[in-house]
Amino acid sequence: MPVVRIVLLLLFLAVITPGIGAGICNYIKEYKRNVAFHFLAGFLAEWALFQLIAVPAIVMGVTFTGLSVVYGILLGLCFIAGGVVTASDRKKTPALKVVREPFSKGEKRLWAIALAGILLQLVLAVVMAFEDGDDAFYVTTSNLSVTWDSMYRLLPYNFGSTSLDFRHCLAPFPIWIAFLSKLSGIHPAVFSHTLMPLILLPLAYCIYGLLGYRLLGKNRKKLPAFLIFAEVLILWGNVSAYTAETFLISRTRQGKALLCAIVVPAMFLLLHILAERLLYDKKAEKGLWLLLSMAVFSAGLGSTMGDFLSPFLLGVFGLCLLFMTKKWKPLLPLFFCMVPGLCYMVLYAVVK
Amino acid sequence: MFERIIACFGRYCGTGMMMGLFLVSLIYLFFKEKNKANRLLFVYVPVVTLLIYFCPLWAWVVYRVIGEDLYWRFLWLLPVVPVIAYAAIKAVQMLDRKIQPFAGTLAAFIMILSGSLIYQSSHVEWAENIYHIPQEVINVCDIMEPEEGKVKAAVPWEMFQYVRQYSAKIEMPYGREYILFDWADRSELFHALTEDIINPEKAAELARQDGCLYIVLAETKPIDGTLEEYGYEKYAETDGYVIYRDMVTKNE
Repeated sequence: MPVVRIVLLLLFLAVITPGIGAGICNYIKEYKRNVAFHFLAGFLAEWALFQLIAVPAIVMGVTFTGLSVVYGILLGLCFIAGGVVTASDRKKTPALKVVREPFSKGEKRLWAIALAGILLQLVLAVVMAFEDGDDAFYVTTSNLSVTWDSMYRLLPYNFGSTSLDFRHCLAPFPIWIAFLSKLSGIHPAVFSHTLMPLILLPLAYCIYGLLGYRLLGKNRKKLPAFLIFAEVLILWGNVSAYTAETFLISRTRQGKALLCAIVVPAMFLLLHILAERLLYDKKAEKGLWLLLSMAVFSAGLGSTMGDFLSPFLLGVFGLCLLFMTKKWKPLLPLFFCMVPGLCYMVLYAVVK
Repeated sequence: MFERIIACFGRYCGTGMMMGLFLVSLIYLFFKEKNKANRLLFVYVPVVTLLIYFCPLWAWVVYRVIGEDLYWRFLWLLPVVPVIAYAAIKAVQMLDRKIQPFAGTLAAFIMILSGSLIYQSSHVEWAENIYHIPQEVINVCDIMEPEEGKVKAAVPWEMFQYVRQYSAKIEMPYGREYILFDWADRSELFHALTEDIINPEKAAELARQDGCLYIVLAETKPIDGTLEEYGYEKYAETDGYVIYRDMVTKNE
């Protein structure tokens, strides 16, 4: 039985996630065959879907098992839809084999350093413990959900039940971790502390890799150097307890880290793709807008602060875009992408 | 107001060296970057974000809506890593090919000198187990955790944040909120168990009133008498802790 559950977890992470992402990326020409982007898109879709159904489910008092079953079924449907879309497209347009220039010796050396650096961080994430008092809330919330099948109605710090913790339930990332924990049969504390960094750290570097590739004018020769610099900046980014880099390494299991170290860089990546389309009068695919709105949902899943920060970032982007292009038209879909964040923001302001 | 914004910014930046590097990179990209999308996302957006962050009117609104203690989180929107990394690559690229590896290494050294290694933080230590929870907490919880239902246990403050991460079946009369909030809010039981010398009669009575089946104390904690006299038997000892169990409640 434990083996079956671990297989289920691996299936979720390695097959379902990129499968869903591939379906979405099928509508973004540039990233149809980019596996790293498929993973990112898949996670954003899963988080957005979870945020969309978990908040009302928690408010309505649905059990954790009930939510998990519904989420599991919806994920399965999304995966099937993604598979159908990808398969039909591949029949129509068989992939051309891209002939890439082989890596030079210097490039190979840089890639080896970059990958060794990431691997080392993953090993250290397992063998080193990062103490943080907030885990008493977040990890315990996951543990309570798995043990007592209840969401945000038990007090994590001490004991007893309470009326719904409305403020925190707007950002139910601990429940998403609880879902994975239940799926795999792995204790929520083990999942949060040991496995979450193994999932989110590679994802963060995928995002930086994708972002670097675009920044460098799609020149992959300089990409390993960019990644090495990014690793150095992240590892030595602990200039205070508040930086996104500190959160990425030391508080990976918390929704705040998801927001600042995964979703915000992902939004910069998506906005960069959009900016390139809009600034050079190319068509911005609908899939991009969809992913951007999913990122806004994901920001809210991580932290209620995400409901403020993601519309703020889109607003600043829109303002700068307007300044550069003097065109109002792109602001409308941008505004629609902000709407989920704005709605949660209003809810937060009301219940605070 | 402006002073509070600056103080908040200062707390976020630490020594300020990394932020300095970020600002220098922004200025460099402002003059050197030609690609419009790169300029938009990695020059204009961070500059406007900073301008809005330092605007007292904006801060006043945010303080009222979400609170002053969360204002620093707007700085998460500064793309520090991609901007510095990209500016470094761009600067190194401008140099002669032969010296590029040395210049790249130098750039990495400057980044290292400007920052602080996360693994040197005082909050990091070697994990004792796969749970990343102190082993003594796990051992104590394993002794107390029931197969069915839940139990309540009063534990020392150093265990507050870990017990329920490991076992959701163990309830506590008080927990991490006692570390976060004022003394005035703390219960009599907490005071009774944290006195320099514990009065066992008072501690046992209050713990029983609170429904605690277990009391966990450090072996070295001085007690003026024994808890056994008041119905709490010495149930187990592990890792420098003694676990007392309420025989009165158990027998009922």
